Amino acid sequence: VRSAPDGPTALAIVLRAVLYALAIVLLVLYGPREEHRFIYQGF
Amino acid sequence: VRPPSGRPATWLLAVALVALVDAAITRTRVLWGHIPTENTIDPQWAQISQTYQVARKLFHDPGRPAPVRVALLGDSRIWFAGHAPYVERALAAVAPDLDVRVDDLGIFGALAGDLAMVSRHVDRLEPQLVVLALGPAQLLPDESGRLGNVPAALLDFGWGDSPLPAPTYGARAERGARTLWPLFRFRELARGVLWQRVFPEPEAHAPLPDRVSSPRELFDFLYGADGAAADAAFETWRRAPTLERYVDYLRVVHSRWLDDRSGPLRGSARLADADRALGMLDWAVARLRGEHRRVVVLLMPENPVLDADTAGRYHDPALSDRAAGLVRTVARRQGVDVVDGRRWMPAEAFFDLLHLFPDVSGFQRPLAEEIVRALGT
Repeated sequence: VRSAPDGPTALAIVLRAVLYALAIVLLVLYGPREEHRFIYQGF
Repeated sequence: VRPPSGRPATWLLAVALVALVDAAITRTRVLWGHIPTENTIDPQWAQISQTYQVARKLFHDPGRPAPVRVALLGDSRIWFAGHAPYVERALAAVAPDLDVRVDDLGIFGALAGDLAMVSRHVDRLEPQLVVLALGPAQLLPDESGRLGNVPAALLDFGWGDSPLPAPTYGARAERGARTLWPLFRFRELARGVLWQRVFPEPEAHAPLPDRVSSPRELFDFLYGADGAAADAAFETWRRAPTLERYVDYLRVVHSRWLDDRSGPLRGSARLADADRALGMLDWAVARLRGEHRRVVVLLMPENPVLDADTAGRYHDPALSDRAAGLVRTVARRQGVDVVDGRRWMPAEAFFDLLHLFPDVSGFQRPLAEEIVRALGT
């Protein structure tokens, strides 16, 4: 008889991964950003 | 037993999910579909909007397939006057047997570094001919000493040499990350675009019309409710075309450069320090020309109304020739032709001291003739 896994379940891993992926994407898009002061002489 | 946060499987799955989200944004209309602000001509936003459109053309949707492709690089002067439909129609008249797609990659205020950075990616469009439309502005840094602005910053990625040095490890790391990771590469654009997808804004402005048959149409496009006043002032000048009346016309809606001592019509003395800009243009031409690709440097038409300004009140009379001489040295070094279009057009073909009327100026006709000549040789 196999005992139930005492480590994290697959669901926990998936939920964590989704959380991390979202955090990474949001950090890239809306995280710290350098301020460009764009100046140009055109129209 | 390790918690989920410490498991390699968690991180591998997270990376895979990031890659999925990345592709769902950067390879689809989520990032590259029409956005309401992309046609703005507000000086504060026009450069980033046009960089976005150039990026769309380069990295997502090059346009219709055609056996012959011509790319136009330059600033607002080619953006207005080199709008693809005008040039394609002129090409159809000059060479009816030639099926040419024109890609107008002009961006308002593009400096030498911006053009060099765009040129880095132009081979994606596989043009047989690139027209580099230049003027004195492409030999001078802007007022903060920079040779490139939005396009130079946002399109700075790719393997190999970059025209702009990355002075720090951080800058080099950022360039590397832009090269490797599409979402990071387009993050500034995606940031604004995704926001507009969630919170749609009204259309900022109409796109440049594919046909312009009178000055009034352009004035309405540019100045909205003030279009009629601009048109009346322009007509007053046309009936008695003196420099004074032209200045009066400009003061109605668009007098930005008249009193600007450091604007794009001044600065022949500063050309003594044009080496950095010339280095950029040299880099761009070397990058652009190839076995199956020709490069033509076009000196853009200049408004002859300034001929009457012999005292230099509104412009620097020495600027044009000195700048042309410097551009020629670059072209000679790279073995490419210079087409001197500076005297191509009469004063009534311009809507201000720098810009040609789109379509109605007729600039596209001599441009098309030069394109056909360059393609045929």
